[in-house]
This record gives sequence, structure tokens and C-alpha cells, in this order.
Amino acid sequence: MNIQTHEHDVIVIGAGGAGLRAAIEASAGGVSVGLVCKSLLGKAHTVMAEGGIAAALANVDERDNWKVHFADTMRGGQYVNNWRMAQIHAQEAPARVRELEAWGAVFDRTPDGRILQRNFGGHRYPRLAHVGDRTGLEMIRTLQDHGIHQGMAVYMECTIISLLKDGERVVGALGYYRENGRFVVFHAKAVVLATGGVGKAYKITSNSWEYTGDGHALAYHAGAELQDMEFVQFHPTGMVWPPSVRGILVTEGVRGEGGILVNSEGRRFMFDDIPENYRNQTAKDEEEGFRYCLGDKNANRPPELLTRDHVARCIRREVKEGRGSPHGGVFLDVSWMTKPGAFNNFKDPEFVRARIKDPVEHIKKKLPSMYHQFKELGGLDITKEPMEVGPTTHYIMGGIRVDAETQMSRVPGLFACGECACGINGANRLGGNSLSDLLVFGKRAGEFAAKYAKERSAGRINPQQVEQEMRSALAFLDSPLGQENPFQVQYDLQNVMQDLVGIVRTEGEMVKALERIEELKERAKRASAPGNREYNPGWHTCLDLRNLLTVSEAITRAAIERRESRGAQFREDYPEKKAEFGNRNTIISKGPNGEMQFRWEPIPEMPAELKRIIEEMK
Amino acid sequence: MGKVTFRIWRGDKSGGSFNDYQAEVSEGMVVLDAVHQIQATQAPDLACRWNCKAGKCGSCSAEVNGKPRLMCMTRMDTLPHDQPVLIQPMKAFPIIRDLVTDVSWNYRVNKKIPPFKPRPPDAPDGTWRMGQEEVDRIQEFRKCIECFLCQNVCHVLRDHRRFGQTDTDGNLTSGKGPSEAELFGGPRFMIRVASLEMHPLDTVNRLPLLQKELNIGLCNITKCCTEVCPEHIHITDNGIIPLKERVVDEFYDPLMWAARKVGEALGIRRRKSLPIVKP
Amino acid sequence: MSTVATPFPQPGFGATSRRDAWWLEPLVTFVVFTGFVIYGNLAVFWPQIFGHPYFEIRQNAEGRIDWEHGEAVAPYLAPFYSPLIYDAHSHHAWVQAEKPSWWPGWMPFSSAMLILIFPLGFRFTCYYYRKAYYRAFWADPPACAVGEPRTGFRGENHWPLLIQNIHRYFLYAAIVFIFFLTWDAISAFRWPVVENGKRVGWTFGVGLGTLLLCVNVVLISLYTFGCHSFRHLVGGRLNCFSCPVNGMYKPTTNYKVWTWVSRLNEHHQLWAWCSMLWIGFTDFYIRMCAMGVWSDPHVTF
Repeated sequence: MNIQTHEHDVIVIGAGGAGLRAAIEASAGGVSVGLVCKSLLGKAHTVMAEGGIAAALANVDERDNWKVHFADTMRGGQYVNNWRMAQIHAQEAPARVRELEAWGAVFDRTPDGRILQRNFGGHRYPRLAHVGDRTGLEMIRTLQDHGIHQGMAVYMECTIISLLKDGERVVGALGYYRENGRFVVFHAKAVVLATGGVGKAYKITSNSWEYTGDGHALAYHAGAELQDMEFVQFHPTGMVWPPSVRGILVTEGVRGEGGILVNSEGRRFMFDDIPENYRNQTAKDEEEGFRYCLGDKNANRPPELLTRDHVARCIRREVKEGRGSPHGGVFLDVSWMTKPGAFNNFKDPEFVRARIKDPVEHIKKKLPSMYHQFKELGGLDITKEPMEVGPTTHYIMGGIRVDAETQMSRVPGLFACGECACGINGANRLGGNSLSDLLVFGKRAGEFAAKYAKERSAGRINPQQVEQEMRSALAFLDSPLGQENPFQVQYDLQNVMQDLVGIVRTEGEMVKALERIEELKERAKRASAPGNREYNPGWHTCLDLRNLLTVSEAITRAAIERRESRGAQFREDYPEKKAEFGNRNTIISKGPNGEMQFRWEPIPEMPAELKRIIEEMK
Repeated sequence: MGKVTFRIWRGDKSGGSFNDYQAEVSEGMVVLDAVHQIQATQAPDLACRWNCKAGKCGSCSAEVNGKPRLMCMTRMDTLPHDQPVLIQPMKAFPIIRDLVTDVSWNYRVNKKIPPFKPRPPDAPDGTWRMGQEEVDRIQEFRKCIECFLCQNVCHVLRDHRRFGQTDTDGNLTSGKGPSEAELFGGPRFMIRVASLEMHPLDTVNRLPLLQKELNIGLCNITKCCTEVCPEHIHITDNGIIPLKERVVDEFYDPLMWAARKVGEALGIRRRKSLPIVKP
Repeated sequence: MSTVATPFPQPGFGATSRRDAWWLEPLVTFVVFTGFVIYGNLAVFWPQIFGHPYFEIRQNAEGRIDWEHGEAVAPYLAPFYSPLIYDAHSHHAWVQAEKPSWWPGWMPFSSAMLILIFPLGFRFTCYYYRKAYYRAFWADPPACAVGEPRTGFRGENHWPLLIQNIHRYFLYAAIVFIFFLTWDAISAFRWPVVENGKRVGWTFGVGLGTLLLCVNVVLISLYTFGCHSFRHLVGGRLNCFSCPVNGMYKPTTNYKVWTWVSRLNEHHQLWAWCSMLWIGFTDFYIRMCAMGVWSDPHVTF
């Protein structure tokens, strides 16, 4: 084979939070590590995370501990989570956060000098360690600057197009450098996937271009199973205006700091619909909700901080029933607190005034990125006017099915962690659990991949497989001009998924979506990219399309089978939650003839101890 | 708002040309939207780096009408529409293709900086204590999104090519006598060193590195880095100048030198940070 | 369009793709700074050019301007001559002599020559002024993303610009000068009572010059105490800004002072310009009054 080959014990694909953490841990395990990223190092989607890292440090509220965090995660996930992963996550997250501080992360502080924690949707106590509203950037920079001194090799702007196998085992990966289009083989004993999500399958998304479901598709084709793919989280608050920024995230922190959701009639509609299992954790009135945001431990959270799936659906209902804002969203308002006499109706306005001396400065200090984002992209001052927001595709709870302890998939040597893996979040992820998930399971994936690699000798790469994959990738360049435009195919796919497999789903629409996806698959095969292999976005899109189509189909098939509404999945034709679906996960895998197969997998019985915790916390 | 002409550089290191494209401009649109529109409809192989399109990742750096900017944060309504919008790649770095440049030099410089090394933990549970006051100062530096616009605009790199002689690819070397070959770390890495040097927990002294390897003395504080920073970091006033003052303490100020000598003679150990009184 | 090797204009002075008036700021800086340097030289060589130094208003018994035989009728001292170390007559002078005995006879003398190096040195090594004159005078660079006339560059890494590192010593001198200027401003309320061309006592009074000198002290102080070196010395050099009191972290005094200085420092450029223009005008005003061109409105009690 006349292509560049790199030998490593462990190769990590993806250099966001999970990938970096995995690479650091694998390096610490004393093996040779290669880290492959699709963009430049430090640009991964993790930088977009704003709110914080959920970990029961109990720095702000001493009642917090891993059990409460575990119960919150399970409740948020509607109990279809992998309970073992939820448990590990809640138990190990505090140590992972402290470790970041030891590596140079600079979190906001409590008055007694410890890591400050903030409130977030679905978390009973203030739990999110944060840095203003740019926690993800802090995390990735800390891991990056720590990681580059741990001896790993970093391959930037390199896209993996296929996993290479030796029998059952994964033994490497084939990719190409975006810069010059040259192919490269990574020969490794273990492969860790940390490629993030699938948001680019949708039109309105907070995700960056990289989120094309690469890891999901690579694992699927390599024989791993995809679990719970129907659970796609729509973040309730994305920007809706102007059109070019539609979908960009407006952090939940806005609501955590007292932002309220209002419809066109000026009504705070979230008070109208509070689910039963959250009723005794939700504020009775506006004053109590705001006191919660200001740190009153005796107050309950405002309804705006209910779980994301619920808030997103409420917003969609308001818009659908004609009470939306001019550009098809609702109003998210923090400027109310800057109006004169804003706290006059409160029973105890002094409580608020003692904590907020100058509301305008308060907003700017607590939400600096949001202030600038709206100022620069929306031409709007959030301290003076309400924002317009609407749901945006944000996260996929589903992903590669892995072992809770080791993060290995059913394919030997193939590990996955972070968003592309599945388990901890169940039917709906709580804000802040993603960053802690990256750290906790990134570490575990790295640790066990290194262990796996140490116990084995290198496998053999099959040159024919490499040859075939290269040929199919180059076919898009060689095909004659004037065929399908890959950007157009991607655009059409995004419309199909947005319209037919969006927040509210029905069987009929999704069956139609499957037909459309089949057509798009055919068109994608004919997609062609003019130009050469050097940094050619058209060609890159042709290759990404294959992954997007695979995950879109998986999402749709799983969503059709789950004939109930649970968490992020809302079926208009089955609007109720059903007990029979509460103890199983959807599984998608590749059949012997290349067709997509579906099956149900029962959730193992939870140990009595964990059951007791959940009962206690109800 | 109608059609606007975009004059975009197309080419690679062997040469190229400016091509004109028309794009439909609508309300709230940014330059990157126009580039995407052109890519999707007219030039699928137009190379351009981007990720988040929200000013958070720092990938889409380029020069718009001659000014170094993030394309995703440059609104079309801030540019005149009656003449072509000129889009060039960053000048300081070697061109890969079209608007994409080779910024790998920055990653090599970053690696020269010794990592954070904290003092022993303050509390038995292995954690540290810091006040928000000192955290505020370094958090400003840690806002950096590594767009490298400051590196691009800094004339020491842009015009005087002080990339040092550390590379092997031959592209980013300056080679005019010994003093001309001095490497300059650039504003980005001054800020990075500042975030470490002013960290209350850190125990490493990076002033010799700053003085001898990153050559902070080459900075003549003309503040273009601050002008272009999309994160509005006060790179010069809060980062580079305070570091220059620390370098003066360490290497030039005779009074400081004498104070150190007296301190050493009296057995007073130099502390980078105050000890913590256990609560 | 034809193929070109790079997408940028040919390197050279002023080469840029910028379309805005990038040249305006350096041009204004160039003109104003040059004007100030010219005026500074005029002030220093005032005795040689205009016959007498004219740093205070002296009148004879007839109430006419008379440098040689007159008496100071106003308490002003032109700030470019402050502190006045040598003068044969002035009550502002520390030494009642025309010039130092060691001064070489062939060299022209003016009192300003002894002291002006300090405020000038302070401004010359000031981090703001460095930015301004490197851009406007050296064109290194003339403006951001604009080409330069020279290819060589030594930065501040080598002699002679290595000298910029002594900025803090000029700061020490500048702080001492604030005391002199403050003394001058206070003294400007203590008016001489002059009868028949002889001073017979003192009285309280206020003139336009008094106000100019007072504002001058304020502006110079805002500029001096916003100095980057000062900011470093009062707290910037420390890494710890807070200390635990009963387990809660409280800001230190260093931090509070550093915060105040930082606030001034944010507008260092503004104060640099205001104080420069103001001191220049104040000096000019007093000289014009001293030469009888203008007359100073004042009241005495």
C-alpha cells in the first residue's frame, strides 16, 4: 500500500472534550496515542457549550450529593437511561471537575474561594461548575493545553471515512487530510470514537458543520449497535431572527439567571403547564421562581427551568396556537428586571434588591457572551428588549451502544464516549450533564482502550478494504460534472428531517421521511464535486452526506418503533407515555445484507439500592 | 437588500486570482453566509474554514475589505454594498487554498510554553481556594478563541516575518542575520503566558522564556492585536504590558534586583503567590 | 482577472487592502505631536529667541511689562519652567542665581533645560506614547494591516530602544513633579501685593491662570496615576488579589488600588492627550501674559 500509515496503540477519533480526555487518559496509561480531529485542535463543538459542568461538588448547597444527581439524571431521562452509567457519571463527575482545576481551568468562585455552581434545568440544587457562559471553551482549552504535553500525536484537519477491521476486531481507521486530500491509515489496537452528534441532519440546529454523525455511521458500518436514536434533543431556546443566525444557541443560563418566557399576549405561559412529577419542585409564583435564581435555598425553581423537552414543546404549542413572536418564536426576557419598579409586586423586594444592585450590569456580568451575541448578530440589547427564541436541534441522546464500565461497543477494540455514545441520558439530557459525561466517560474510554491495547498485539489491516474505501471516496471527484450538487442534497435532507422527524412526530410523516431518505440516498450516490482533492468543501460534503443519511435513517426508524411519547420523543399519534416502553431501548444495527435492522433490548433490572435512591428523591 | 458582488481570492501557494461572485444579501446576514451561499450555488470547491458560525470557535478568520475579521461576526449591513466586498485569506500565514491558511506554526509555539503546575492543594480534599478577584483577571485572557487574527495583524509577524527558524517546511522562517532571526511568540501566546503567569496557583516562572525565547521585547505595543480581537480582550494593556513590566522586574530594574538579593541574603523566599490561611 | 502570486498588494509603505481613512489617525498624531515638540523647544529657548525667559508676569512701577527691573505681579510660574531651580530674581527660584556656576559659558542656558528631561522622558517612554509615535513617526506600522517603509526591525529588544524599560524611573520623577505642580497651583492663589514696583505683602486671589494651573494638576495626575508601570507596582505584579478573612475571600488593599489605577489606565490615551494639550496651553498662556500680549483676568481679596 502506497499510503502514509501511522502506528499507534490507541487512536482517538474526535478532539472535543471526550476525545481529548480519552487521549489524555490513554497516554497516562503508557501507550502510544494518536488523536485525529476533523478541524483544527481546540475548535470542536465543545467550545459552544455555555452553561456548565454538572457535578455534585456541594460547594453551594451542601445537601447535594451523587445520589441526588443520579436521581435527577434518571428522572430527566424518563428512566430509560443506562442506570449504571448514570450512577458512574454522578459518582465520578466531581473528581473529573477538580482534576480540570488541577490542569489549569479557572472556574468562577464562591465567596469562600471554591468552585461556584449554578442552577440549571432539572437539577435540584445548584450544580453546574461554570465560567461565565463559556464553560465549554474553558474546558477544551484546559484539556488541549494539558494534552499536548502528554506525548500524544495530533492529526489536525483529518477526516476518518472508514474503520478497518481484522475479522471481528477493529484494527485501525482510514482517513484523508482535508488540506491536500491525501489518504492516511491509522493502524491501532484500539479505536475510541468521540465524534459528537448529528445536528447537521436538521435545518435549524445549534451544532457546527462537523456534527454529521460520523462516529455513529462509522460504528454502525463496523458492526456496532446504535441505541435510542429516536431521542434527539431540541433545545428550547435558539435564536430565530435574523434568518442567518437561526438556531444558534441561547444558553439555558439565561433562564437560570431569571429570564422568563412570554408569549405575544404577554403571558408567562410556562406556569400553565407543569408536569405532575415536577410539581412539588416548581415555584408557586414568579417571586419564588426568581428567588430561586438568586440562590434562595428554600425556593423552588421557576417553570422555565423544567426539562428541555417540556419547555421546547410548550414553546412549539404557543407558536402553533398563534401566540408566537413575529418571527415564529416566543419572547425570552431578562430585560424585565431592568424596568423601573420591576420588583414592586414582590412580597419581599428587598431580598432581590440586596442581591442585584444594578440589573443592567448584573445581566452583562452573568451573561457576557449572550449580551454580545445578540448585540453583534441580532442588533439587540438584551438588557433593554426581550429576545425572540425557538427550539433548535441541539443534542442526540442516542448513539453507539457501549458497556457502562469500559465504554467498549460490541465490536472488540471499538470504544465510544461523549455524545456519540449512548446510555447516561435516557430520553432527555439535563443541561450540564453533557460536559460531565465527556469527562467521566472520556476518561473511562481512554483508560480501558489503553488497557485493551496493552493486552493485545496489533491486528492486520486488509489492503483490499482500504483500496475499496479509497475508490468509493474518490468516485465523487471523478464523476462527470452537472450531476447532483452535494450541498443541495444535504439541504433537502435537512428539510426532510426538520419537517417530518422534528419535535412533534407522527407515523405517517416518518414513513414518508423514510421514502424521501431512500431517494436522497440515490441522489447522494450521484453527488459530484468539481475541483481537485485539495481542501475541497464540495467533496467533503459528498463524504459527510453518507454519514448523515445513515443516522437520519436510524433516527427515523427508531422513532417509528417507539409508539409512545417519552422525553425528547413526542408522538402526536401516541401522546401518552406507556409503561411497556419504559423498560426497553431501541437498537439499530446493520444486517447481513447491508440493510438496517431494528430490535428492542430490555433494560436490565436496577439494583435495589438505586431503586431506593430514586424513591427517596421523588 | 439585493445582490452584492464578492471579490474572493481563489488559488493556492503557487498563485491564483480574485474571482467575482454575486450573492443575494438578506437582513442580518454575515459575510460567512455569503461565502456559504457562493459555495453551495456557484463554487463548491471554494475552500473556507469554519465551525460554529457564532464567534465562539475562531475558525473563519480572514481579511474583509482589508481588515482582519471573523467572517461569521462581520455583518453585511456594516459594509458598503455599492462596491465589491473583498475577501482575502490571512496574510501572515502560508496559503493552503483560497481562504484557508496554514496556522500550524501557532500550535508549535504553544507547545514551547511549559504547562500549568499548581502549588500543593490547599484543602485536605485536594482542592484549592481562590478569590473571584484574581480569577477575573485571568479569565479575560482565557476568553481567547485562538482565531489567530492578532497573530495575523501583528506587524512583527505579518511584515517582519519573525516566525523564527524552528520550522522544517521552510515557509515560516525569517533569515536575515542573527537578530533578524529572533522568534516572536505573537500576541496570542503573550496572552497565554499571561494567563499562566498571573494564575494564583501556578508555580512555574516563564519570564526567562518570555524574554529569551518568545522575545516579548520585539513587541512595540502598537496595539493592532487589541484592535482586531473579536473577544475584546485588552491584549496589550492587560496582557503584554503587565508582562513587560514583570520582565523589567526580573531583568532590568536594578532596585528590584537589589531587593531580591537582600531578600535572598535575609533568607526570604520569593513567592509567586500568597499562602492560603486554612479556614 | 490575471493570475497573481499572492492575494495582497506589493509590500511597501502604505500597501493595504483597507478602504477606510487609516492614514487619518497617524496623521493627526504626527501633526499634533510635532507641534508640541516645536512648542517645547520654543519654550526651552525662549530667552534666546525672545530676549527673556518670560516664565512669570513682571511689571515695573508704571505697570508696564519689564523683565529686568519689574516685580512679579501674579503668582504664576509657567509649567515648563517648574520647578524653577535657578533665577536671579524670581521668588519661585530655589537658588537666587542666574545659572549654575558649572554651566559652560558657551552653552545657552534656560531653566527648563535642567528639568524638562523628566516629564519629556516620562512621556517618551510611556506605553501609550510609544504606540502613537511608533505608528505616526516610525510607521512601524503606520496602521493595522498597512505596509511599512522598512523591512528591518529590532523592536524594543535591542539598544537603544531597550531604554524604554526604564519607564518606571521616569514615573518616580513624574510623581515628584506632581508635587511641584501642585505647589505651583496652590501658590497661584497667593498673590503678591505690589506697591511702586516693590512687593510689600501677599493676599488671596484667583485668576484665569490659577484655574488653568489647577486643572493642569488634575489632568497630569490622571495621566500619571493611570501609568502602566504604576499599575504594575501598586498591585499588578502580584498574583493574589484576595485573602481569606474568616474563611471568606476579601479583596486586598493592593487590589483596590490596582482597580482604581486600572480604571484610569483604560483612558490613558485620553489623559495623555488632555494633559499634554493643557499643559502646553497653560505654559503658552502665562508666557503671553508675561509678554503683555494677553492680560490675565483675576480678582484679589
